[in-house]
Order: sequence, then C-alpha cells, then structure tokens
Amino acid sequence: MKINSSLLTDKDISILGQVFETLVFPNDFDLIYENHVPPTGVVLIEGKLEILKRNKPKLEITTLQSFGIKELLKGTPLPFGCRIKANSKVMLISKSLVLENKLADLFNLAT
Amino acid sequence: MSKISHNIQCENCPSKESGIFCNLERMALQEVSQNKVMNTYKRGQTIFFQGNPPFGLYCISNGKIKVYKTGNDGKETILRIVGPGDVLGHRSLFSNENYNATATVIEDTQVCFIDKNFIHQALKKEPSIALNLIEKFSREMGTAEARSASISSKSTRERLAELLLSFHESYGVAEKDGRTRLDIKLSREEFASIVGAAQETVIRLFSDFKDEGVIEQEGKIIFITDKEKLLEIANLDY
Repeated sequence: MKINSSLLTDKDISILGQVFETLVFPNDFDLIYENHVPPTGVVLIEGKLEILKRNKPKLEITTLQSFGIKELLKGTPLPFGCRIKANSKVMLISKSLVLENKLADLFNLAT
Repeated sequence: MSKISHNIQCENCPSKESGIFCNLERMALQEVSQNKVMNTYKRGQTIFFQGNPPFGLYCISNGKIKVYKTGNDGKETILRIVGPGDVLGHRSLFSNENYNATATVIEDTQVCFIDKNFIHQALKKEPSIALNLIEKFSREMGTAEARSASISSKSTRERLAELLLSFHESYGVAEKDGRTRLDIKLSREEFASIVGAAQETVIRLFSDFKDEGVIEQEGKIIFITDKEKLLEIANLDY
C-alpha cells in the first residue's frame, strides 16, 4: 500500500506548531473515511494512527509522519481510511492555514 | 478508484438558501468553496464523536444525521436530527469544548467541512454569516426549550404526536392520494430515544395511531393521514 506522507523533523514540528493546532483525541475516531477527501492533514505527535482498508487496519503511521495533506490541498479522495486511536496527540494541518501562510512547500507540495 | 474532486461549489449547493452562507456574494462564496472539503458519508458513518475536540464546522448539503449523547450505561439519547442547510459542531467549536454528543449519518449525506481558522476569518469579514449562525443557535435553543418543557409536562402519546408533526413540517412530502409521506426512516428504538420513552411504549403508540387512522405505514415509511387529529393529540397550536 502506497501512501503520500513525509517524515518531519523536530525543527519542522516546532515551525508548524506556531501555525497549526495540536489536539488530543480521548476516543477512537475515524478522521478520514476510505474514498473521502481528508477534512484535514495530520501529523502524528504521540500515540497511534491506523490506516484502514475496508475498515481493517493495514498500516500504522509513525510519529512525526504527516499524512493526507496533498489530498486535502488537491481535493482528491484517499483510497484508504485513517483512524486516530484513543488518547493520541495529532497536529491538524488545516487547508485554510496552509493556503494563507503559503506553507505547501514545507510539505514538498505544489498547489 | 475515483480521483476527481468531490467538491460541489457553494453556489450550486441544493441547500444554499437555508445555509449560513446564503447571503454571501459570489466572490465570497467562491472563497468558501476553495476552503471547504465535501464528502459523502454513508449510513452509520460518524462525523464527530462525543468527547473529542472540534476542529471545524460541518454544513449539511443533503441527507440526515442524528446527534445523540451516550450515557455511562451506553444508552443513546437522540438530541436532534439535522438535515440540509443545518450546521453541525458549532456549539463545541465556539465554546472551545469537546463535543458533548456524537453525530452519525442515518442516510447517505453530503457534508462540507470548513476548518476552524477559515470560519473564524469568515465571521470577522462577513457579519451575515454570524447573523445566520445566531439565528440557527436561537432556533435550536427554542427547540431544546420546547422539548424540555414537553418532556416534563406532556405524556409520551402527546410527545410522539408532536414529533410526527415536526417531521411532517421538516420532511413531509405530499402524496397524490392526500397523505403526507415522512421522508425520514428511523427505527422504533430511535423514535423512543427522541421522545424519551421505552421502545415498547412507542411500538404500542404507533399501533394506536394506526388504529385511529392518524398514520399509515408501508415498511419503514410512515404516512400521516390525519394531521388535524395529530394536532389534537399533540395538544398544541401549530
């Protein structure tokens, strides 16, 4: 399974943290359903993020890996889902803030 | 696998006239379109989950969603059903609190997600959005107050009749034979959850309503055949 993702450095996280919000999800949550355009990009800070195919976990996103940002900006659906596991801490990459702050380059994306 | 964008422009949204962006000019609507994400949720999929933090606002383009609270005993209480033109997640977003309820789709539903930053910027630039949101908040508060009063002062029979009347108003489709079809499919358990009664009671009341000629049923579809009688049972002036 091929997913578009980038591994960020602590320095990247420190820069992004000045713009984007980091949230803790107390409960499991299907952040992105299979074949949906992601409502937000995501960077896993702590905890567990599962990649699902037909509602079954296939992969895990590792800490400091970003995910779904290209699809969010291009408005394309992801061929798999993404579930945040309870008590995970994630940085949410919102579309409007990426566009407003011209941050697409940081994720190696051309919008 | 579809690779095309799911986004329908806000200008072409079927619920544009009843949505919070209804007063925006074309340019402003285009900006909303550029920043929103539209997806089709299937029945049973969850839009947000009780206890989790909000990160944006959801606008319903078409379809229906139930908003419910789950108690410590695992029992669901349906707070409301939302449909086209309604917004979801606004209370938690603006109060900076985690969701106090879960939103789950009860029929295939198209939902637009607008992130927190964009909605905050848009509210500052376009007062009409704030006014439309206040109107929605006020209506919801009115409905919640009426429901609270209804639960403490009315019988389950009256409350169920009241619910059917509210569905008549929101989802009623006039049929050629004079009946009104309710374009919403809920289980008896869900009806019971909304009126705050046991499922058995609701099943018995539905049977009574059928015997009295107030409603008819074909499968899961409910038809209202005598609205006047329903008004009488509900004990309210509509």
